[in-house]
Amino acid sequence: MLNHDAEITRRAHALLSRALDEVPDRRRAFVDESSSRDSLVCDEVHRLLDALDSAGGFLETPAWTTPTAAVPRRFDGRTIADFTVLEHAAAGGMGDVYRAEQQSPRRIVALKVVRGGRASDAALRRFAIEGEALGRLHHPHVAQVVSAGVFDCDGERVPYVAMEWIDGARNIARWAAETSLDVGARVTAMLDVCDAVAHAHGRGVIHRDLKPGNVLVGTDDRVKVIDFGVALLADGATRATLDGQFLGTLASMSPEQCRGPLEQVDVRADVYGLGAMLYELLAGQPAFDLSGVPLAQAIRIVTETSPPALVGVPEDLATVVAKALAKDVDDRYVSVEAFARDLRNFLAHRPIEARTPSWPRRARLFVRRHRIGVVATTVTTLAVLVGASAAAVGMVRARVAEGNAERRLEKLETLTTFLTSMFDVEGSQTLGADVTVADQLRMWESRVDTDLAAAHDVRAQVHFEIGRGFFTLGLYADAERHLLQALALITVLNGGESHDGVMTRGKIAMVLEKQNRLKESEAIYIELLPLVDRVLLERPSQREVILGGYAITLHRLERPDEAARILEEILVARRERQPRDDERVAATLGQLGRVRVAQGRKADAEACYREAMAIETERFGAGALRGIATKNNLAVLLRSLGKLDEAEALTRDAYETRLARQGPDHPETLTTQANLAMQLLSLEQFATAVAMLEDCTERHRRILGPRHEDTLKTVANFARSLLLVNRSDEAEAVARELIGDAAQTMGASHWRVAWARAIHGQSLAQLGRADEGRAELDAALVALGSAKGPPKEMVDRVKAWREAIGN
Amino acid sequence: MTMLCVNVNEGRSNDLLAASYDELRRLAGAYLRSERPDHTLQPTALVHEAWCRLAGRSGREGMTRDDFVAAAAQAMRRILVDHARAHRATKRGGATPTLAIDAVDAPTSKDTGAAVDVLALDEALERLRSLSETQATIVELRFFGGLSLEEAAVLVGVPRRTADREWACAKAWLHRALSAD
Repeated sequence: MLNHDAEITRRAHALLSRALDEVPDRRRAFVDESSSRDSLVCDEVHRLLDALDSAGGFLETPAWTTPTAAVPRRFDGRTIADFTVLEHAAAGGMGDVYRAEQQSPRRIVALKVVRGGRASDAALRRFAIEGEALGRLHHPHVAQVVSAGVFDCDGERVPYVAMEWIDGARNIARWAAETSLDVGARVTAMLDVCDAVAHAHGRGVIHRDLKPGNVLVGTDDRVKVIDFGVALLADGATRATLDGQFLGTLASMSPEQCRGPLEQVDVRADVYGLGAMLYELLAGQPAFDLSGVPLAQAIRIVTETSPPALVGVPEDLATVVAKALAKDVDDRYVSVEAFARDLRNFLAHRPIEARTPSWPRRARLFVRRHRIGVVATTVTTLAVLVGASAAAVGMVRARVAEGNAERRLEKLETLTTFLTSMFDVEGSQTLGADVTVADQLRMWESRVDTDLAAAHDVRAQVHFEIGRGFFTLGLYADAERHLLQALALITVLNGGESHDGVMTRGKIAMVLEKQNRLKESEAIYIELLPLVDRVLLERPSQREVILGGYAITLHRLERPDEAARILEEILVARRERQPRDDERVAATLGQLGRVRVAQGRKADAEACYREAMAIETERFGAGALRGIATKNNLAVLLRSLGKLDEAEALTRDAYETRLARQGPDHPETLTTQANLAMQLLSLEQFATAVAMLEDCTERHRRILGPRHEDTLKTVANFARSLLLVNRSDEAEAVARELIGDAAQTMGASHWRVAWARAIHGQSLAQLGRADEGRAELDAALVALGSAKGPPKEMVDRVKAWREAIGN
Repeated sequence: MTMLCVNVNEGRSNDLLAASYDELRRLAGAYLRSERPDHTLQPTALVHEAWCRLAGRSGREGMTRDDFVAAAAQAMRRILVDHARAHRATKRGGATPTLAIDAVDAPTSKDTGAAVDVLALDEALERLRSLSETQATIVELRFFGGLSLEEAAVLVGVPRRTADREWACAKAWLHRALSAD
């Protein structure tokens, strides 16, 4: 029986398959006429055809697509600023609209509350500026803004806009469809919209989000443009919460808005928005149908494809719309007035100003579009060569595969091979501060944005990888620049709270810390803290990298206790995952060691370092770059504990490894070199030590700049070493300059400034200028007494110097 | 003596993940736990992201994107099925729900409004595979991998017209299989 059933199923399936080759109307007849004598099989095929008829959307929506369900905030009855909320009226793109009553003057308003509520400070600032401008817009076709501001909602600052209430408001596209206006009437309605937008442009307000949903028509058939400038709020944090809405907006968003930060667009973005709106009014559907299209692809559609030709629309009008919708801003109308003027030309049957793009221009655009692959691969090859991840290459390969262009592929491979061989010859495939690689990166970085203009996902990735490449090379300013560009793109593509967004922001915070911009770094980490628990919950080690970075920033801000608490927590988590996470445990131990030193718990610090070193030697071997930092730190600690020989051996080992692997100009090589010089100084190998510190000072100044904290440390050490070899006049000059530089970087009351002053005082004393030296040393001692956290050895040293002079 | 602070190199090498399953599960979990009511998850974006991550790992250079997409669709099917199983076990009074992947919503089919029983679909799909490998694969790519019919056709290596027919056939067969009794 079972076999029989299986046989029927098999035959029914086969018959169904053949029946489906027929046109739908013929299928059942085909089944009945089929050679199958078995009525059971025929019946089954009919049931299958029934199933197909009733299947509808069965399986058509991918399994992972979760249905959209916006949950409006509940504000009913609450008072927001001057307004009492009456009822929820609509869910808009940016948030929810409530009908509300203003206290004085008493009137009904539409109160728009931005959803998500976590607008970034920068966005709120911009919004505040813009809000003022909004109030100054008075135009019959602009919905009058009553007030705009920020209110406190359960501890969150939520932006709101109150504007005139429009009775029976419908969006312009729906209105046009429902009242079946003719083409002329639709264009005339658009002219009202254009006037409103032009009025705003004249007052410095760009709308940025023109779409039918933002042009309302009330019962009096008057159009009103709403939400001027509100799109500005949608950056960073807020944008992420709007992802779902973003797609809706995308259909009428200009290519340059898809591509880059909103604040960088000009009035021509609004020209595009108006063009897209007119297109929709004329075609009865949006210029780009993006429903169900993945975001990345949607962006590609908007930036690379033309909308379907307008059917049944006069050619001149279609040309005007096409010019407004041009991909390249330079091909668009220069202003809304120019666009409106051409629309009036059309209505009056005058010749229009718009021209279709010339053939050479179109050819140029085509070439520009198709050059992407070549350059992308070149750039990513470079990114890989400097040790960045190969993920970007994967993306580019994917793009090539999509295009299925064999010749292009061939060309790419040739180019890749060429570049690889070139780097081989230069011997720069090793990870390090190789000038060739950095220079090449610089050469190519300028072309990423022009040559990859349309490929945002790849561009974001390439920027990120180049940023990481520069980070690895220790070129932090360059790294920061690229990471910021990556972040801008990622924010637009996936939102700042996406995984990539969070990781990129974390990396930026680290780059800022490396550049000594600690307050900025801390600010980013504070923004990220609530996010890492949410976005990175599944990836504990990435979460810990960010938290560890935060701890280091706190440490650098001289808040070791806070840093220690974070690191202790990370350490517990990582130990739980041992031995798999051995190296991460080691990394955290290394960081905790530094913090313990700052806490004055040197024995604990030594234990941390030693355990980390044991793990790292076991994992990577003795001469590996990984683990060098631990050796270096341990050496510094051992030196301060008087264990000079072990310290010197460790530091020399670290320095030689770094020199070989990272090159002489890498900031980390410099730090290690400076450390080694100090060890030698302790071991009284003065001549070598001073020469090394001199070299080190020159490199630090050149590479990190004269005011970088690490530079300041090295300069102080150099000056100190000059004292030891009795080159007092040089010491005096170096220390004098250092006082100013340190005060500028660290603030005048920092102990480093006092230390510089003390060295200066001692150099004066050694030059026989005892009075000046005494005064300087006294001042230094007073400053050290009131400064936060100067090392005890230092204070003792200064006291000894002061005592040596006597009175 | 002045002390010098030294930079610490945070571990940069990532653990090599065995397969797309882990990666996708992670991605899916992270996407869905962001708990945005208005967030729409795009399977293709997910696959794309996983691909970007996996493609760069050593030992996978030879992998083509097609190989990956096919594997990913299978992996995504597994993830949903495993999730549904875990969910069912929980409902029967098993362990407390795990936070790890419980956030994944049961997949629904928007137009019919009815939820697709993933476990039943999974079983039916295997039975369909014994009748037609091509049809089962197309369903996997489309429904679990989020590919368009066009993309699925290219991947399976059949003309678009054939893919249309195979898809219709599979849909009929599966709809019948899932609505029978």
